[in-house]
Amino acid sequence: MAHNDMVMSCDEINKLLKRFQEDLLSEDEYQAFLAHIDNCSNCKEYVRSIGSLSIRLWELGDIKVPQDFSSTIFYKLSHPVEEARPNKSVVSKKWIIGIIILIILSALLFLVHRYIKTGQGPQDMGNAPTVVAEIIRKSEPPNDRRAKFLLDKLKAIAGGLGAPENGMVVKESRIEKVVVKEKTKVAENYQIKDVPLISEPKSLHWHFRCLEVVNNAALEGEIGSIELNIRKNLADKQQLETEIADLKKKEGAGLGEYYSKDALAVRSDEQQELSVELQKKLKEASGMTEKIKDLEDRKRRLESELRGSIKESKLTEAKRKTELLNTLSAAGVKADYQADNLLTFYSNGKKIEDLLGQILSLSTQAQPLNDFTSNVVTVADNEYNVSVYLEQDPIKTLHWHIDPIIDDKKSSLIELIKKHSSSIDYESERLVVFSIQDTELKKLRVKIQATRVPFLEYGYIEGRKQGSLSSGPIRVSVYLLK
Amino acid sequence: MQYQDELRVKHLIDYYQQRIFALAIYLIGGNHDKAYDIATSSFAKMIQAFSIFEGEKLFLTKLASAVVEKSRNIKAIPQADSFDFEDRSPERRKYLQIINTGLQALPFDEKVLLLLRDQLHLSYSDIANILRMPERNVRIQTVQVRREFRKKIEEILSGA
Repeated sequence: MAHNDMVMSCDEINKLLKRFQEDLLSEDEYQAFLAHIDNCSNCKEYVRSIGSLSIRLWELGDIKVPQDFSSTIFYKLSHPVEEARPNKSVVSKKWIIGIIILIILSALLFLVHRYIKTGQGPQDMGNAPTVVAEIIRKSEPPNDRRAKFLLDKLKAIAGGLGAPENGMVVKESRIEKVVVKEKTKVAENYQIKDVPLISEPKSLHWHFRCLEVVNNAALEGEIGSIELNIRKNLADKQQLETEIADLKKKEGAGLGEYYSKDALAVRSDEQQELSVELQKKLKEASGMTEKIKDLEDRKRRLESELRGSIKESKLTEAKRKTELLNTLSAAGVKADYQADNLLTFYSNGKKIEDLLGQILSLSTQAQPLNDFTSNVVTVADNEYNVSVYLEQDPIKTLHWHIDPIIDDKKSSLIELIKKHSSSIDYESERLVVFSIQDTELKKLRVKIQATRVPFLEYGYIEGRKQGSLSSGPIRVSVYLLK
Repeated sequence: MQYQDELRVKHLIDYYQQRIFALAIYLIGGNHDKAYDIATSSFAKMIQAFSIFEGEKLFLTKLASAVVEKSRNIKAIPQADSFDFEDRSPERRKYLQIINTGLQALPFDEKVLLLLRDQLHLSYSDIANILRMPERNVRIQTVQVRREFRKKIEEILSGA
């Protein structure tokens, strides 16, 4: 896998062998050297025959892998096990000092806050205008701590200020601000009615599978195994041809050097055996050629079938995407944001449940819809923000799932994304869509992965050449899992 | 598993399994069961964490990094299994066993350097990323480690 397009010939391998042994090649030459011997068995054998320590170390790696290796990996993929993080008992001094300072500062801030709070009290009402704050709540679960906390705060203020006359409706997101703002207004009274809050819609995230993969995977698998078979047969044929060449050489050695009658008789027998052996090998080689030809024909037929299947898949893909959009439209759902493979919309719980049922019936495939937020219990009257990622192939956008694990990490992740992206196209509580250049994308990916949060990438960019002038920014959508 | 193309995952496993398994075995000193566990867990972890549509080079680097970390974190070195190299000629077999003995005599980090460069053929910049040190240091240390390794082999060959 060379960094550039350098391709080496067998002659060049021969010339550069000594420098390879001594590890004096440039990285590009090194990778090109390895790429060649990976594909050229003759050169690989030749290089391996040189007795240097580095090459012996390389040869040391030729060990047998247990046959169930691959299946064990697939098993572990479907049964992930939480890894115990290694105990880091060595903590640097800097970290300890930092934590201590943080604790002291937090304690000081808390004390100052308490002092300011207790220092203030309700002002004298006099003839001040009055205000009623109505908190509208929609069937929040009884243990919604946030709603209860805010309600208690307002009640505490109301308790100190007396009974109001006029009313005011506030949304949940504004309650904190209202509470703080109204606290500073002198001589205003509040009445709290125990009514539902308007809550911020919860987020749902779906992947809708547009593409048809089953048939292609089977075909590709078969083509792959035929290719392996062809390669093996070619290697066997090469071996056979070498043996034939040796036999021909021996056969052509002639009888001239033998003078005695007995020696001549023996030599004649040997020649006959050689002839028979040679004929046998030639027949075998011819059979192998036929077999390889048949395999190549079959491979060509399957590739043609695959091309047809891919073409059909594309049509099915497009059809399935249209069906989804029509289903949403028929349900009266309008996309709030739509670009490439992502669309978002708002709807209530009941409509979403109905939609799910309709979407699942769009395809005969198992699981056309993957709900990454199946733990969210939809309530009929609650509003939800739904983002749908359409799995198609190939696409011009990437889609990431990142699990910030804790909410504090979420804001630093968003900051990181904003730092590297060219523009933010869409942002909501759990979803960010941005455009980014190739080079920045790689840096961003590495930085996110360095934070060790669970990270999955969907989709790929087809046919982009590094450094190409015609390549514009890539669009990436990021869903932050909860 | 969310990936649409299990075939591509299988290709990655088939392509890298021998190298990664070998890396694990030689890093931990030869216990096949433990190396198997490390190698398969690393593969599963990296396939989960990475898109298989990213560059394969990056995948190999991160996979090797996972194996190195897991091998480093083993608390007790398990019993080594024998290295047979049964499909080689007797002379070759003997020499490979000497190479292995010399390799196991090196400290862990030096083994990592040699194996990543001479067995996995990673670039110096990739090795620097795995070992979290500057590339220049990696180059210098590799030369020193090779010298050290050669000395150990010569000692073994001379019967010391």
